[in-house]
Amino acid sequence: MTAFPRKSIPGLLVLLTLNANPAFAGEEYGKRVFTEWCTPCHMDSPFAPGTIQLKQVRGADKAMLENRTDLTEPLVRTFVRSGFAGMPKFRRTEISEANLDALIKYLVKP
Amino acid sequence: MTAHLPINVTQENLDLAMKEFAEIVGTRWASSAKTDRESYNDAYNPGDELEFVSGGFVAPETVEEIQAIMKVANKTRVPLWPMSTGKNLAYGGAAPLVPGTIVLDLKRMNKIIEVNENLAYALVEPGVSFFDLYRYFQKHNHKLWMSVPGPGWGSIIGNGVERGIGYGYFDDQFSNSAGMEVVLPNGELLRTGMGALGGGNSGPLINAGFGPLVEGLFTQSNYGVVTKMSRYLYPEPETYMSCEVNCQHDAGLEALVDALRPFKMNETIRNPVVISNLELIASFMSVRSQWYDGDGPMPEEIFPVIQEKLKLGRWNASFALFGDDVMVNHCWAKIRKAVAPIAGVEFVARTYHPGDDILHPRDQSQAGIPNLTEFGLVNWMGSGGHIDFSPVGPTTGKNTRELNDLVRRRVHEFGFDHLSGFYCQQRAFRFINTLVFRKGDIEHMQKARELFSVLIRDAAAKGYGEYRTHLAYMDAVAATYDFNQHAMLRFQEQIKDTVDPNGIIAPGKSGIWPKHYREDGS
Repeated sequence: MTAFPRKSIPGLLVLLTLNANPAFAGEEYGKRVFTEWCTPCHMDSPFAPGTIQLKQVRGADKAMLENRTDLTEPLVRTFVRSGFAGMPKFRRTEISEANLDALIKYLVKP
Repeated sequence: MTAHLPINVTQENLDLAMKEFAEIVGTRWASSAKTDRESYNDAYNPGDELEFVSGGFVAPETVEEIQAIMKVANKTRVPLWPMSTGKNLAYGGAAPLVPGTIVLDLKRMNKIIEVNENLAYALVEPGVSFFDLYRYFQKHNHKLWMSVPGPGWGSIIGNGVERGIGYGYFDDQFSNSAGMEVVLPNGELLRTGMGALGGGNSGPLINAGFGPLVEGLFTQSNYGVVTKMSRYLYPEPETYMSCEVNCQHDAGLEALVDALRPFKMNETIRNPVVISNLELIASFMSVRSQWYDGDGPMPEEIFPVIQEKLKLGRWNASFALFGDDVMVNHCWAKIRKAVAPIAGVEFVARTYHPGDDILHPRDQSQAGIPNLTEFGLVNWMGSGGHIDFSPVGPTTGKNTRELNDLVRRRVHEFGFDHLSGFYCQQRAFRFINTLVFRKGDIEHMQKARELFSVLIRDAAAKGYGEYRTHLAYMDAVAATYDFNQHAMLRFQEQIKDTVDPNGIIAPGKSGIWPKHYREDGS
């Protein structure tokens, strides 16, 4: 069994003003967006709802979003804004357009 | 252009309101575009998502902007639905009750105004989530714990004003907060309790003040927009023990409740004693089809398999002990002695000291570390649809058995699994029953709706009322609070007519409708 996170959820020590810093646009910034908004459901843990669902529906090799090479921009954008199955939609006041762009840059492998 | 117009609102007025909202907050943060309107839908609604579709949103960043928005809303009669982070999931999420209502999205009001280490409280704005405050504690090395609910992505204020419950030292969120700041429907700014004093800094500490207390009026209500509130915190304990008492037999529920209640009553146990059934906990970490793929409720013969595999009981009580080693071990020994005579009980305890890793999600929640493990129940049937039925009753074995059997019988009769847990405080429990349905399956969703109506009726007939409900059932639940020909609702309506005569805030919230809606009768 994968250990549940340490005292803190992994990577929860992220910047507190993510939405206020659209100046960042690189992969590093996208990773921080992922950590703030996606990690609690999509981390490598038997208790992470997103990972459980993906493992069940798509198989173990597709369960970890950060390791996927088949994600596309429209796919990520649609899932974030419209939700899918148990995943809720995320609004512009939660994940701004700039942050969504950064997230896509991080998750979509060239 | 919007597809719905609330009563008394013309398209011209709506367009004017949206234009002026945009002038107040900027065009980026006010919109009635289709994608924005629908971004506030309740994704888990037992029916069409568009049933509770908004007319758009306006997202202020300051109190002054909210005050200006109120003036426009009064002028144009456009109603607003305030929401903090929109994670009131299973009860309607971010969606407004009346289609076409503009969502007053407070997520951008995300300042942590003060964290006081000595007096152990935090003063926050409504957009601050439990995750946000936890990160702040880590960044600033605060040795403070908060009480977090199951899923930790919700708003601290939102959870408080919905009168939610947390797993930590302070269980009832609203009772452990103070110092509300509220924008009234006429745009006036109000501070409650000690905050009403022109000077001083006791507002966030205690709801003392002078004269009638009014904080409760701004919970589950439509009388104002809460813009600041404190939340009590507690110092990191020397020793924290996470305890589980799992009972292998369904019949053990009554005895478990009666054996644990004295320890809750004398405050040996400070946080809620949560007694969850097997199905509920299984839904956090597995999917239904792993165990059973048939229609109807999961058969009895499957339960031992799940119990064995997940190391769970049919009923699983969890709670925490806080103090030092001597104290915690002494209390745990007393509790074990009291509970041991119950057939089929098993004990589990995990002890932590400052600096230790806390790995188990329930242990994290009790230690104020937010996570989303419980949100895993959306996976149970794959499609995420769920709605919570949450009646309240006395914390006795007799009452838990009566209510559990009443709800379970109906849930099974309608062909659903019974996922439930008792959140026990000293004197009363909240019994949270999650009805998971197949989103998109019209017949299944209709069944869930029928079941929910039957549950409200059956529970009320036995004296159990819901403390919180989904948008679709606010009128139905309000109607069950019928003492003296609904004296309570009539009083609530009198207040509504006085403080919000134009009915601009959250029409229909908790069954409270503005006068023009009541007269319209629709």
